[in-house]
Amino acid sequence: VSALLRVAVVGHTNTGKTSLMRTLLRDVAFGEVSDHPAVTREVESAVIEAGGAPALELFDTPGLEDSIGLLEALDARRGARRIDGVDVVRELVEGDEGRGRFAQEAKALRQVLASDVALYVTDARDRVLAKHRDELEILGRCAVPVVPVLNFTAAKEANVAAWREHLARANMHAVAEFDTVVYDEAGERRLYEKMASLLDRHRATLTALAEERSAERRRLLRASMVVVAEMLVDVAALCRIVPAARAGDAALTDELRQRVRVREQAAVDRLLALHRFRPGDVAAAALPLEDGAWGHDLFSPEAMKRFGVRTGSAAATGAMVGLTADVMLGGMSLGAAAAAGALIGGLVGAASTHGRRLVERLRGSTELRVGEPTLQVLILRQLQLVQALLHRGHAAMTVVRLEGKPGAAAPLSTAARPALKLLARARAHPAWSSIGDGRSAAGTDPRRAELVDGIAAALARSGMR
Amino acid sequence: LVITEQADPIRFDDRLLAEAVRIAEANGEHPLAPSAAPRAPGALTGGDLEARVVRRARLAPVAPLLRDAIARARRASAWAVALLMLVAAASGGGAAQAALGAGRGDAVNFYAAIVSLLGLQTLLLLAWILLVAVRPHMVHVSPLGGAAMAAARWLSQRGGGGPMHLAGAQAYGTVLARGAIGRWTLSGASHAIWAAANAGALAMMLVLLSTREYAFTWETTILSSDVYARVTEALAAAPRAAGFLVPAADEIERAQHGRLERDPAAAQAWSGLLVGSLVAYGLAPRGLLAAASMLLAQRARRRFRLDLDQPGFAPALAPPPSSRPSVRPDAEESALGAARAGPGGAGPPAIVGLEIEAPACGWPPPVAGLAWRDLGVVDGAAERHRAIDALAAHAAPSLTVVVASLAATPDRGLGGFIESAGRAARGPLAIVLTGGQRLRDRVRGGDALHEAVARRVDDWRALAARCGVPAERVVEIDLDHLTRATTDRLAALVGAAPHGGAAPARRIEEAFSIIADAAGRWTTPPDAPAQALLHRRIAEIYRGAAASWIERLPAPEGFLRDGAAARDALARAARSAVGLLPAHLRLRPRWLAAGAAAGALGCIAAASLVAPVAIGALPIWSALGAAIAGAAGAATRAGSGDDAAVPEGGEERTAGAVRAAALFALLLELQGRPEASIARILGAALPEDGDGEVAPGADARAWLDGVRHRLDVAIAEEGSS
Repeated sequence: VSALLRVAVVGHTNTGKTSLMRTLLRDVAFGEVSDHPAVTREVESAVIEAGGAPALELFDTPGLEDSIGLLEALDARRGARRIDGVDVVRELVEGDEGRGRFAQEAKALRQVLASDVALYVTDARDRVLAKHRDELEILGRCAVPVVPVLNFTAAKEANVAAWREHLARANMHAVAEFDTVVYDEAGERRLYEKMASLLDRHRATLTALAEERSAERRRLLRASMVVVAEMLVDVAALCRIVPAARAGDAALTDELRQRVRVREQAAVDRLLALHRFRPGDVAAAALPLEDGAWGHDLFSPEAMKRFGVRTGSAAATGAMVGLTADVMLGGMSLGAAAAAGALIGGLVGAASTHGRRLVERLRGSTELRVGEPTLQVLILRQLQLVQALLHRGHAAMTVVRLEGKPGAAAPLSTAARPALKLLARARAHPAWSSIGDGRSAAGTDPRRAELVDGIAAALARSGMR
Repeated sequence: LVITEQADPIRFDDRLLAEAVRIAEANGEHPLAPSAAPRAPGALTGGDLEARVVRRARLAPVAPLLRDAIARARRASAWAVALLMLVAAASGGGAAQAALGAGRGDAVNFYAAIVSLLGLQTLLLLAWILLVAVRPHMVHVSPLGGAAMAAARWLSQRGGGGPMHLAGAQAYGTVLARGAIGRWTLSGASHAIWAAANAGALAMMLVLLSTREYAFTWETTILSSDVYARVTEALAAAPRAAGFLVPAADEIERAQHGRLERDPAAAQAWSGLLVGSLVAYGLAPRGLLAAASMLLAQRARRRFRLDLDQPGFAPALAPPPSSRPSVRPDAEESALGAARAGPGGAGPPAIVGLEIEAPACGWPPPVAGLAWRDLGVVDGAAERHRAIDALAAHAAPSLTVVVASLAATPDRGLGGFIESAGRAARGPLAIVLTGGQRLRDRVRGGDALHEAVARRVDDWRALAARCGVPAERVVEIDLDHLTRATTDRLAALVGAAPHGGAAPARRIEEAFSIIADAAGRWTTPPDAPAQALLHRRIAEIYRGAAASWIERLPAPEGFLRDGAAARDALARAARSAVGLLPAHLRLRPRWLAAGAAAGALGCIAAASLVAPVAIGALPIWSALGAAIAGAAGAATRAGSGDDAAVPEGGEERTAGAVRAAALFALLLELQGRPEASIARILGAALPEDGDGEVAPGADARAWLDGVRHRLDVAIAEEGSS
C-alpha cells in the first residue's frame, strides 16, 4: 500500500483547473466553473481511489494571476543571497506579501510546496506569453515535479506545437494533452503515465488507477448498452391486441406511442444518471438533448429523416408513422436457435406464446405494435447519445455539435442491424415488455435477460469507443 | 478492515442479495432509502468492486426482507421439484403397470414393455447429451426443468408478499435459471424427476413381478429372428455386468411367439433383464447425471460472480463525490489601487499594447490627424517597466490607451500593469479590447456568443473599475478588422476629429432604392445569380466602408471556382450572418432564411467584388442552397416546429429575396457596431411575421421605407442609451 499521492492542480486563472478536477473525478458538481477570472478562491481537494484504496488526493488551487509581479518579488527577496529558490518561495508565501498582494498566488504555491507533483494546466488556445513563462519559472523553483497539461487541445485554434516548444525550453518534456471538454480516454491514460514517469515511487498506484479507469469505461459502455437494450426489448415486445375494427383508431395509436415515449425518456434519464450527468447541469444541457429530452418526437418524420431511416409511404405522410398492425406470422419467425429449442421440446412454450395470439386473431383482433423504422430510430439516437456521453468531459460547457446529417448516421445504421435482427425475437413475446398490457414476465423470464445481454453486446460492438 | 473481510467472505447468498437489491431498485423501489444505521466512514468504499456492491447490499435496510424472500424462493423450488418427483414416481409406477399388463399368466411382449418404459426418456436423454455437447447455452430449454421453475414461481407467489418479496424471487429465479448455474440446476432437476419416475416404475415392477406370474414373449413381422437375438444380447450386456439375471441364447429363441410357456427359469431371466434394463438404462444414468449436475451446479454457484456491468450496480461502483472544503481559508485579497483619474495632460495621447499580437492594422493603429506617443507592445516584466518609465518620463499624455486582448481573461497581473500605467501617466486611461475574433472563434452559437463576449467585456470593465478606469472608456475595437466606423470610435475615444469631421454617411437609402427597383422589375422570382448580382450592387455602395467587412467574410481564395471549398465557406458566411440576428427573429424561419441568404450571397458578392467574375457562370450555385438550408435549418431545429412550414410560392420567394437583400444592406450599414448593438437594432427595425409583410412588386418600396423608419428610431435609441 503506497502513500496517498498529493497532486496540486495549478495554472493561470481561467485555464480550466477546476474543469480538469471535474473530469478526473467524474464529478460534475466539484467546485465552480465559469468563464470568469478567479472563480476558485480557495484550495479544495478531493480523493480518487484505485483498487479500493485512496490513491490520489487532488488539490484545486486559485489561479496564478500576477506571476510577473510575483517573480519580481521573489527575485527581489532573494537579492544577492545564496539561497535555494524553494526557500525563497517559502519565505514569500509565509511572509507579508503572501498574505497581502499575492495572497491568491500564495494559496496555490503553499499547496504546490506541500504536494508530490503539480499539474500545470494551460489553455492551449492562448498564445505563449511572458506571464506563462514566469509561472513556469516560479513552479520550477518550488522543487516539485511539474506535469504541464494542455487543455482545450481539441479546439481548432489550439496552439499545441508552440506550447510544447515553450515547455521544452522551460525544461518540461513530460507534457500531457488532455481536453477537459472533449473527453479522450487515451489522453487521461497518458496523463497518468506522464505523472508516473516523474514519480517512480507512485508508479504502481498510477498504473493501477489508469487500468481502473479503462475497466470503468468498459463497464460504463456495457452498462449503457444494457440500458438501451432493455428499453429496446420493452418497445419491440410491446404489442396491444385490439379489435380489428379499431385498428386505425388514433386514440389507440396515440396511447401506444405515449408508452414508448415515456419508456425512451426513462432510458435517457438512466443513461444520464449512469454517466453521472444530472439533467439541468451545464454539461447535460450541451448534449444532443433539450432539457434532458430529445428535441424531436420519436414518431415525427424529422426524427426518421435525421437518422437516415428510410420508411415507406406511410411514414412519408406522417400519418401512421412508426406503427404497424403486425401480421402475426412476421412475429412468429423464430430464428434458428429458437427452432433448435423447439425441436427438443420447447415447442410447448412456443405454442403457448403463439397459440394465444392465434386465438385472438381468429376472434377478429389485430395487433398494434411499434414498427421497425421506429426501432431503428430508437437504436440510432440512443447510440448517438451514448457516444456523446462517452466523449463528454465533465467540464464541458459549450454545445457539442453532433452531425445529424443522414450521411453521418450511415455507419451507425449498419451497426444497428445485428441488434435489430436480435430484436425480432422479442416481437414474439409480448410478455417480455414491461410496458405492455397484462402481466409482464420482463423480470422473470431468463430468455429475455439473455436476449438483453445479446443485444447489449451487439450494440457495444457497433463501433463505440 | 482487511481482517474482517477475510473472516467474512462473499458467499453465493450475498451475491443473490446484491442481485435482489439491484432488481428491487430497477423495479422502482428504494431498498437503500435513508438508512438510519450510522455508517462507518469508508463503509461503502474500498475493497474490490464486487465486495463494494455486496457490502452496500448488506447495509440495505431491507436486506433481511430480501434474504427471507430468497430463502422462500429456494424452499419453493425445492418443494416444486419434490412435488414433480412425486408425480413422476406415481406416473412411472402407472407406466410400469401398463407395460406389464394385468398379469394372470398373460404373455408380456418384452420389447413393447421396454420401449414404453425407456423409449421416450432415452431419446430425451440422448438429445440432452447432444445439446450439452453442441449447444450448452440451449440446455435451459429442458422442459421438465422449465416446468420445475414455473412451479417454483407459482409456489413462491402463493405466499403473497410485497415488492421486496418479488425482487427476491426474481433474483433467485433469474440467477438460478441463467448461465452455468441455470444449465446445471435445471438439468439436475430434470434428471432427478426422471430418476424418480424410473424409481417409481422399478418399485411397481418389483411388486408386480413378485406377486404375479408373467410370461415374456417377443414377436416380429418384418425383421428376422437373428436381429432380435443380437439386440437382446446387446441390451443384456449392461444388466449382466450389473449382476442381473439375463436370458441365455436358447431362452431368447424360445421366447418367440410365446414358446416359452411355463418355464419359470426363463421367465425369471427375462424379468431380470427387464428390471436390469430399467436400472441400467433408466434409473442409474438419471441418478448419476442428477448427482453430477448438482455438483456442477454447486461449482457454478461457487464461481458465480455478479455482472458488474449491469447499470443497476453503477451507483455502488461510482467513486463517492469527495469534495472537501477549503484546506486553508485565508484573508481576502487586497483590492487594487484606488481610482485616481485626473484631467488629462498636455502631451499627445499615449498608446501601449499589453500582451497582444501586433494587430493587422499596424502598430500603432492609424488614426487620421493623430500622432500617438507609441510605447510599444509589452509582455514581459522588463518591457512593462520600460513602458511605464517612458510614460512617466515625458509630459503627461492627454489620454493613455492600453490595448489588450478581449480573448485574455482579465487578471490581477494585467490589472497591476494598468494601474501602474495610470499612475505613471498622471492622467486618464482608456482600455481598447482587440482580437475579439479569437474569443468568438471559441464560442459557437448565437446567444452563447453574444453572452460570452458581453461577459468578457464586463469582466474587463470590472477590472478597469478597480484600476480607476470608468466603464465607458473600456471599448471593444477589433484592430485586426478596423473599419471606418471603428476607426471613428477610436478617434472619438482619444478626442481626435473623426474622418471628414462628421458621422459616416448613410447609404441605406441608396441601397434600399436599388432593392426596390430590382423588386419592381422581378416578374418571376429571381434566381440565385440574379440575387447575387443585387447583393454585389449593394456591396458596391458600401465599398469604401466595407473593405474590412469583405475581408472578414471567411471565404478562402479562389473558392468561387471550386464547388467543394465553396460549400464550406458559404455555410460559414451564412451562419455568421444568422448569428447576428436577435434571438426572437432567429425563431422565425423567414428571417432565418433571410439571414442565411444574406450571409451566403454577401460572401459571393464580396468575393466577386475583389476578383471580378461573371456571376452567372459560377459553379457554386448548387452549394448555395445547401449552405443556406444548413444554416437556417440548424437554427430552425432549435426553434418551434409549428411555423416551420413556410409556403414556398413564387411570391414568397420574391419576398424572401427582398428580405435577404434588405438584411444585407442593414448589416453593411450597421457594421462596426458591437454585435449586441447590431442585434438590438435589427430586432427593432425588422418586422416580425404577420406584422407588415413584404409585398411583391412596387409595394416592396413601402415595406423598405417602413424598415428604414424603424431603423432610424432604433439607431437614435441605441445612441442615447
